[in-house]
Amino acid sequence: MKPIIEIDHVSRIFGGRIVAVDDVRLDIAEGEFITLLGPSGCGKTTLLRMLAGFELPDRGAIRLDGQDVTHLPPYRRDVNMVFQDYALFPHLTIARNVAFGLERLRLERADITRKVDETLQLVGLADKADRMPHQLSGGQRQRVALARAIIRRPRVLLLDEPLSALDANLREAMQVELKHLHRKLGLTFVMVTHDQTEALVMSDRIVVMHNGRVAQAGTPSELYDRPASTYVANFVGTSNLLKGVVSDVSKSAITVDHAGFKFECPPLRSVAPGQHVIVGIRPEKLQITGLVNGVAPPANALDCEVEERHFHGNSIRLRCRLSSGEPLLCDQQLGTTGALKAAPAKGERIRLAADADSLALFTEDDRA
Amino acid sequence: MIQALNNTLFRRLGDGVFVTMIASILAFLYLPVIVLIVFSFNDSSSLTLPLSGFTWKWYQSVFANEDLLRALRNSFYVASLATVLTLVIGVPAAFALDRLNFPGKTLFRRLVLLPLVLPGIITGISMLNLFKLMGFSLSLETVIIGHATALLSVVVTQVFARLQRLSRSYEEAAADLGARPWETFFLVILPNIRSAMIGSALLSFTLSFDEIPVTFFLTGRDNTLPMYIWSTMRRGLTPEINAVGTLIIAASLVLIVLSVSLLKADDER
Repeated sequence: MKPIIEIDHVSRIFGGRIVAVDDVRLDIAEGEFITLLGPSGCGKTTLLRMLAGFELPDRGAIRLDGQDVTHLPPYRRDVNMVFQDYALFPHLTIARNVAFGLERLRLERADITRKVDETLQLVGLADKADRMPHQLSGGQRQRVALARAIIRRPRVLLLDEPLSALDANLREAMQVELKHLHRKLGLTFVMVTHDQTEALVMSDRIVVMHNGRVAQAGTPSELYDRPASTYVANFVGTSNLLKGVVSDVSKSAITVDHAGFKFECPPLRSVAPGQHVIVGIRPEKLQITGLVNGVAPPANALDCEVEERHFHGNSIRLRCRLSSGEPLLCDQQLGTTGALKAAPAKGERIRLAADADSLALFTEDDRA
Repeated sequence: MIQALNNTLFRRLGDGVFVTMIASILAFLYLPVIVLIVFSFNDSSSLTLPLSGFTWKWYQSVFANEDLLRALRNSFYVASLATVLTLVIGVPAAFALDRLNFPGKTLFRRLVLLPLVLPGIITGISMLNLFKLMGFSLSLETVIIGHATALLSVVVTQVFARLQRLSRSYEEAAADLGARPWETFFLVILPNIRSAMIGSALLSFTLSFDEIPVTFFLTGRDNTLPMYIWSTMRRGLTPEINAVGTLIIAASLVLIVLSVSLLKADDER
């Protein structure tokens, strides 16, 4: 299938020096909910603004439906945006705000009124049509911004940190609602966020950005389970990163030594014995197999001492320290009553083990 | 008990002092105006107490005084056109300051502000020199140019301040929703800076209406109202002047109420 948006080696350089977006190549499929994820300054917002037409690329091309829109002004592009600060026109009523896009298309008055009613109904604000923006709550304004952007049924809906101004409970509710809306309308959504949870929950595909480049693109589970670099491993979820040296490479496993412990990682990378590597382990993949005894630990097992316990409600996080001095996080689900009592106490020396499949292996080059 | 009594006593005393202070400030501000209004209805040509009786005759003589009416018309003409001129030049200038980056921008901003703090007499003399140099003959039009120069900064500062507070994302949102640049200007920007424009226009109008120094240097044979009043004053203060003053105060009040209610309607959004 032909992508709806093609971002073709696009760069944006501010003031001739600051490279905000650096040679990004990305195809977005029709109907996809795609999220650009990254910390502030990673270029995600600049990329989104180039899709909207507010910024022009210094190099490269952007195609919408196969048509080059790189230098087209915003008012000639069939995309609409939900702004971070909503940007509702303060001098117009909610209905007039929502109608704004249709009025520019010179539609019949009756047609506009009908569509505005429908769209306000869709976002659950039919009774607020005659209010002014400042009379609404943050969450309601968010819905108006959404209604205003979808009323033209654009080819692509752009969302610039749409939920960042909402409080935690509302944000969670809106995540679900946006997801439903996406399914209902069948539009292509491109969202920008720095919130990894939001990205994981809502997206079909996540594009992690770092220093203006695409660090990794993939489905939420791909990104979480198979991060391409330590950067992605740390930005999407939490990871224990342990430095080690490759001691043996075979068809079935790559063996890595870390301060007397041994990891047997799946052979997914080409490394040579003696090479310095980093092993990534998600805290929740570590299982407690018992207390430290005199016997040397088997492969993929780690001996450590519990230094702190943090209660998270549904889970407990153990902050441990390996005998090598490295810190290690371990999350234990509290699925059964008594699980909290059974969890190791502070100062206890425990043995943790992970499945070989859950280990990630990074070379030094991946650190980006 | 005594403590409590003391407290109320002090509070009463404090309130009393406070009220007296506010009353004297108000008296300081408005007593002269009240005197002027009262004497404009006083049935005596000498401005002395006691009041001798009520009369409309000073108002009648104002409306029978051709010179005064002409001066009044001239003042309206000058103030209106000077205001229009400041808006026509000032609004684009404010946009340039807000939107464009050009070398010497800071200097430009300072220079635009300068005529406001420059004494009118300096503006008057320098413009007189310029007009003579260029061979302009003095008329009400030269007065209009002089006023517009001095008052430009009022419009520029007000509109510029409003533009600075106006989030750029409104314009982006408008463009995003299909508005061409001119539509964005008329449908989104203008409604949001309207109150600043009206407010600064009213202020410009008032300042131009009672301006003397610049007018003095730049006018030809025509007189504006303040010039006329000032010239008749040499023959002494007449109740007729009080009547004109009262009319001006009434008109200003209407303008103020109008502008305040307009601005308030704007703020409520």
